[in-house]
Amino acid sequence: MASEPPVAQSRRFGERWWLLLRRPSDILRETLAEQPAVSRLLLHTVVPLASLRPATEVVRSVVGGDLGVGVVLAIGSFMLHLGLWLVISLTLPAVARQFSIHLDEGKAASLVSHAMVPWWLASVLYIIPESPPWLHLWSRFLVGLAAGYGLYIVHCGAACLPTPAQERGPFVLATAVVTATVYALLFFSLGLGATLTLLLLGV
Amino acid sequence: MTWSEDISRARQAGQGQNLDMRALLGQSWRLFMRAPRFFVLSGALVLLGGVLSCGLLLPPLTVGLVRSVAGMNVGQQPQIDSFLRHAWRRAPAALLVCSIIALATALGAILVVVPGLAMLLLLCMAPVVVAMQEEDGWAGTLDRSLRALRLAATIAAAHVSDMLLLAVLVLAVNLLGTLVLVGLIVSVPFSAVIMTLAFRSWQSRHGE
Repeated sequence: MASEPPVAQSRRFGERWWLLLRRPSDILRETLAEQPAVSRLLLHTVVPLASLRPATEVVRSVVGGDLGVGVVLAIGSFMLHLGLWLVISLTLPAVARQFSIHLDEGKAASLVSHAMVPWWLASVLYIIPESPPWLHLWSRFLVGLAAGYGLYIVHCGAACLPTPAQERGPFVLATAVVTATVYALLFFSLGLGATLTLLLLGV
Repeated sequence: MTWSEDISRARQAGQGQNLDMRALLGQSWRLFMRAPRFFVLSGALVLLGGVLSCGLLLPPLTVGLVRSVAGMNVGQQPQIDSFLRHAWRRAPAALLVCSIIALATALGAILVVVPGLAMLLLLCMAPVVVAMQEEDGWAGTLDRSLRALRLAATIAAAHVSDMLLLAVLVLAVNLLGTLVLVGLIVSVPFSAVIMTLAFRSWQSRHGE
């Protein structure tokens, strides 16, 4: 009996993500070969995983006795994650074209979704409070490392596509610069929006 | 023709011809270096005029700068007096267009910010379109402004990916400019050059 590809074997939620972290090239090779449905990606991957960070905000606010602030920050966090996913998914085909890589919008959304999985999973670390400072800094450092691993996933994805080998590194670098710029814009805008909302609510 | 038909036509016209950002940056830098003193001086005027007038002079001065860039692209020599003349003559349409963009962005921002940014992206080319219009002055301001907004939205909707990358590029250039103390007087006019050349590239494909 022919062995099933790893994607078909990993039906349980969580097992697929563990396989992605261990063997990203195998998962991406199969995922990028098919034409992924963006709505399915959104419902089964993006929304559940992007909700992890907002959930930590709510839990922290419940523990701290400030639910109103937590809800506002949770909504802002969710929009930050969702907005970043959406903007990078829409921008990545244009970035890819600069490096002679053909990447349509569906495959771009799939690649970005998989690349953001480590960052989303690591965002449970935001539940760690600001005190003690060393633990707080260490948790944020781990989140940063996880985000960096996402760039490695992008590199694996580029290797699965018909990409000139010498263009993969510059493509990943350009993706990192674009992501950092968009993240900075969304973080600033949503942070300002959350601050104004909290001021208006008198919280 | 409805707006969605406009977008389909624009997509078909631009199919297979995407923006080459490296070539665009190179072309923009060469144009900038043809008259660096003019650009630095006009950039300083745009920033100073914008700050002193609490943003009121920012739209017409920006439109005047874009018009000067468009003139340079067809061989004209940029002058500060013609830059100011273009700004003055296109001020009514520039102010109306930018007011509509600001209102749309603010209304979208009420829905947790991101829709506001989407509206800004959709309409951000409108001041460039106003600068490119041959008609100017007060007569027909509303009609010209609405046409500019429609064309800007059509181009943005037909080339979402390129438009997003262009917006990120312009944002990154201006972020670099803010890191250097007076960098904005270089990055702002350089951004205007980039946007003008990108619009020219799309305009030539759509025959507008």
